[in-house]
Amino acid sequence: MNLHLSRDDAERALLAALPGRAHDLARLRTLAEATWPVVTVVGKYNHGKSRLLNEMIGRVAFSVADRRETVALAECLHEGVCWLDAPGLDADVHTEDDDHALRAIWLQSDIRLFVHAAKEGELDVAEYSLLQRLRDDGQRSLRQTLCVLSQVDQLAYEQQLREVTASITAQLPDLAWHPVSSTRYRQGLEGTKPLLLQRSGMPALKGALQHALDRVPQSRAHETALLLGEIREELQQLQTLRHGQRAQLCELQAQQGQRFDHDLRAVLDQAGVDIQALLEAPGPDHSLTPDSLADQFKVTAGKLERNRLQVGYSKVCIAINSVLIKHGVLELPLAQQTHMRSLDNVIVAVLGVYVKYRKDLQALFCEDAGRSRLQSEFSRYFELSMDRLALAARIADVEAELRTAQYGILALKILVDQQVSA
Amino acid sequence: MAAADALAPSQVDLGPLKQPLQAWLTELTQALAAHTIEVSEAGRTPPVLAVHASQINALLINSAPDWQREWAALEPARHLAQTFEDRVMLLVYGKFNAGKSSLCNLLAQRFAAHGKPVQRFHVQSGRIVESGEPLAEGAVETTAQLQGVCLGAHLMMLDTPGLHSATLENATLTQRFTDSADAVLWLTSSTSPGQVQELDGLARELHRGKPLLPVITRSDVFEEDEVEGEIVKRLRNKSPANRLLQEQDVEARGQAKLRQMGIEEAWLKHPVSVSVHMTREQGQTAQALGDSGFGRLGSALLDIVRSAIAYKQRKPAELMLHHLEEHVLEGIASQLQPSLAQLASLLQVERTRLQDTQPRLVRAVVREVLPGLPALMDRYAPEQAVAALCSEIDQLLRGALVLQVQQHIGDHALPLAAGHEAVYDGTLDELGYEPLYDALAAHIQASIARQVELAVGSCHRALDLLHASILALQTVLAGRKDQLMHLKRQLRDEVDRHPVNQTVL
Repeated sequence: MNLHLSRDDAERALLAALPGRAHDLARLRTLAEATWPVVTVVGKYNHGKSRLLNEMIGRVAFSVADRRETVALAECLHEGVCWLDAPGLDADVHTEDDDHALRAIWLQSDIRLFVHAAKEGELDVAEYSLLQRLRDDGQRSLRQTLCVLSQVDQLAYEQQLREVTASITAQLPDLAWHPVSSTRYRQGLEGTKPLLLQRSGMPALKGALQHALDRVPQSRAHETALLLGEIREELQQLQTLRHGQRAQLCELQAQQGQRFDHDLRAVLDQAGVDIQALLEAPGPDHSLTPDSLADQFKVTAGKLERNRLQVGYSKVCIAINSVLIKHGVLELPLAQQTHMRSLDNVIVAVLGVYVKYRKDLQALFCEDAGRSRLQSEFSRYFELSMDRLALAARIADVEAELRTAQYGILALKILVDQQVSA
Repeated sequence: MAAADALAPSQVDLGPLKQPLQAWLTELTQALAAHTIEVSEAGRTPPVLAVHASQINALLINSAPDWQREWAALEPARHLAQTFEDRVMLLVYGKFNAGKSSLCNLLAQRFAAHGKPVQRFHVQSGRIVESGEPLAEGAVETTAQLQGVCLGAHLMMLDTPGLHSATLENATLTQRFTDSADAVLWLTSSTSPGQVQELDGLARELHRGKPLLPVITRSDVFEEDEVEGEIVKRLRNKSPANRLLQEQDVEARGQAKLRQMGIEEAWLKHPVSVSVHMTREQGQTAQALGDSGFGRLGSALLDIVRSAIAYKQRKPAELMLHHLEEHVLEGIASQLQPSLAQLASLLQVERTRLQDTQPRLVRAVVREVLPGLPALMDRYAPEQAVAALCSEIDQLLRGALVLQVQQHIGDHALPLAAGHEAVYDGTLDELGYEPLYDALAAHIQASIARQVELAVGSCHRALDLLHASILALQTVLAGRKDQLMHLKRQLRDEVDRHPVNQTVL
């Protein structure tokens, strides 16, 4: 793998190794490319998110209406902060919002402002479970969530605010809530009314947000290191796993090969001994004495001798074939098969069908060169047998997966370099 | 508003309609018991399939008592329906803090103001207890029990504990009584109106053909000012334009939601915005009531009560039908049918596995048996002991078959065909060594292929039997369902033929 990989290539390589890390990789890319801190406002529609955003920014950047409004992801850059208005947290009939919300809340944000209208009392199930996830994510990634109790001007009495805060705190004890009223803030500013301004909770919320913004570089560094570390750990585990699998399969492959070699060598050695005994039989050699036309229907010494040699040779072939069968060499490789079934076996393929005379048998079985040729020929067919090929294919698969993990480790280095330089 | 009291439901004899429903259930119970899945020829069905099949059989046999228990659990709803059979019952539905109790209390005050009788009650361990207190109201969840109020002579509001509330018991309690209602008021707060996912919890009621009226509550807003160092608050109604915007939005999304749920949009009435708080603050004058939306709510109530009467008249038979549809058929659709489908797909997996295994099984046995043949020939050749050789080969073959069958398709655990298979019946020397070897080897290979074929074939036949009984059961279930749908149409047509006896005063 060369070192001129682009980030895209590196991400692809990592994704191939760890498909479950798609979101983390996307987040890492956001972290590497992001410049301004991103603040995402999330909550049910009509709980005053857009109005709150406008007041935080100090100008009308997001549209406000007393009906469902925030559908698409709205974005605003202002004084070094990127503000996102996430689609309403509502499982509605239309679901295209989900994707926007996912991006805004989980992928792009450094800080989340969770908005809940005070008049609504407790958190409902959707709010509760999202806040729980945000809190858990905060503990892991150090991304902060500020909880805003909005529209407090719509409560009849101060006592009601205390009741609502108490019941929300009972639902999720370890979160602090900022009571806020955008309307009071606007009125306070326009009419220079200090009490409304103070009771709007906006100065306090702005202070808290500034504090959170100051900590963004630190939390980004933490989150980057955390994600890279987790990915590295997972890749190493994957690599170890694949190494182990490959070693196991290769061990099996080697064992099978040794057993085959051993059995084949034994049967060939025995063949050498048997053929030698056959050839060393006492008396004259009649096998080369030709029969005359008159001998056609007679038993001659030549015929008997030739028959004796043929039977001995057959036995040797059968013994070798038995070893082949035992080790799964049951047929010729497909490419070599003919339409003549009687010729479609490995013995014929290696030894041929010609008549073997004494000198042929001697050369084939009784000399080292002959036997080692047979050993290597039969071994070749063993490697081409069905079960052996299947095992080799499995090893190749595992090796490919091992390479994917190793490429992932190299790709991660590229990511780390880019992440650090960012 | 009290005009809604004028609609009196009339009675229809539903006996002839309830009887076929009861018969349907009896026949279904018998049919299920008669169609248990066959796991005969013990040991031939792989355990994974057998376990699954016996779970299905348990469902077939145990369902009837379960259904009876579910029917019994609905007794409180039937009791409630019976107690108030002369009233149209409106279910007040909505999230906690939607203002359900406040609305019920205000309606009670209005009826009382018109000199109509008002009686509050709550349900305590299944019994209806009358009480004098207004319903509790508050900024956080307050309603923990099922409570209601009878308005005038012919109307009753059933207040439900908060939906989507953290307490599961509340949700279950609500579910058990909802079937006794004739129509639904869906209360949705003006702060964030029309959260249509709430309607999911109402799916059953809506499928039962009950009209739905969305009420946008708390349609008011505080205005504040700072006067001499103090915050002064003033509540006002949301403007008519603002209300129209919200009502149109809620209606559009309500319709979309009903379409998505497969329910006729016609059941959704036009939404109405109200503010209980404002009308109270202004002393419930005619002007105040009108401004806060209660004039429109009154008309809407009259309208929904009128649409609810048709349902009300066939309610006793509907309750039975709902039980059959929602417990019996739904139970079958959610448990039995998926189980059957899963069994069928497991069975297909087994078939494919058997097909793939067959050639591998043959190879494995050949690899084990054939290499031993030359040694056997050498052993028996000197005595020309053909019979002994054949019987030894036969034994070797069986041993290898049993072992490999066990290893490859052991979970089918089938017995191998018994009996001796003739391997060769010639003499040992008549052919010569190599032809004899070839003949024996060919016989052994053929014999292995045949035996494996037999073994795998008997596995397939066991699967065929299983498959046949799955199909038979599926056919029965489909037939029963069609029959119930037919009875349902009959019930609804029959009652519609009776003219509704209503007099509007």
